Amino acid sequence: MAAANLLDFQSIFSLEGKVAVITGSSKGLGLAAASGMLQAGASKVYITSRTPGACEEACAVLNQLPTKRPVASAISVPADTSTVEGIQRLVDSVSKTTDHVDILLVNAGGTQSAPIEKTEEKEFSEVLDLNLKSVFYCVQKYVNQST
Amino acid sequence: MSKSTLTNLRKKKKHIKLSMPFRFLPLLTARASVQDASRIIVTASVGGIGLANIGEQGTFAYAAAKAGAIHLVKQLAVDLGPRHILSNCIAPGFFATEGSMPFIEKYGGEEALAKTYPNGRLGKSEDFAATAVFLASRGGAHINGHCLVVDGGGIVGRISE
Repeated sequence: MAAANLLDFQSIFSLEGKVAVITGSSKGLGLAAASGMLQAGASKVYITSRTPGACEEACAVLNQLPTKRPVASAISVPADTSTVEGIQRLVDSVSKTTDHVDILLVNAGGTQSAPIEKTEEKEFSEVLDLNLKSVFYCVQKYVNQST
Repeated sequence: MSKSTLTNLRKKKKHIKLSMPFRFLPLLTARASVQDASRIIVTASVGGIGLANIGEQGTFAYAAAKAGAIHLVKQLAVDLGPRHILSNCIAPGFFATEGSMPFIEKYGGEEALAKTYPNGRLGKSEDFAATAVFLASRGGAHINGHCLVVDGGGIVGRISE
């Protein structure tokens, strides 16, 4: 009957005290995830997108959430994560206010659309960079000793 | 050396001393352990598993990139597992976000498109938020290298009228 003894199961989905970085989080699915994580108990959620104003606005809304922990905060760290330089800037900004990250949600993405004949090389590369290459370099910068 | 250069150097040294310990810490591995692993979650798309958009509004690079991200996460799961980091993907179907609206319109608008999904609706903010929280929580602590599809069953089959 030992299998019935689930230790502390009531907190199984809690993010109490966790620190999260979410890219592409000033709107859409990233913003929804930020709100969810704060309401699940996260202590710090870093909000980042290309537009500083949008990050600030999102943080203002998140920091008003009545169901987040009183000490918890959404922190604006604008950066263009479609470039390796932008990702490095993000890591640098985040490092100013935390010595660790528990959750990295690489969410920034997007696309243009065109038929095969009109899909240009430049646009194809941009979409690959934003949706694939940036995922790898985000991860690298958060695990690499020499960042 | 001029006095101002010296002051600048001292300032610089102080700055380096303050910021270095943070800068050089691998943020995701700093507190990770077998019992409490850090998490990498990547937003992929059902367009990286099945068909994305073709024709006039084709998204060829997007589909390939998302498929690539799903496989990249499997590589990360095994490489970073021993460093106590779990890596997973979320593959959302259609959610009524700003970025998706042009495509939702292409498929006849929110209401018509919703009817083609087995559960009769598009994704809501809380569907995505809950999935992200789950994968980040203790509840998701034994899930690694997975891609969790959040699309009401649309990837399995769509309902045609």
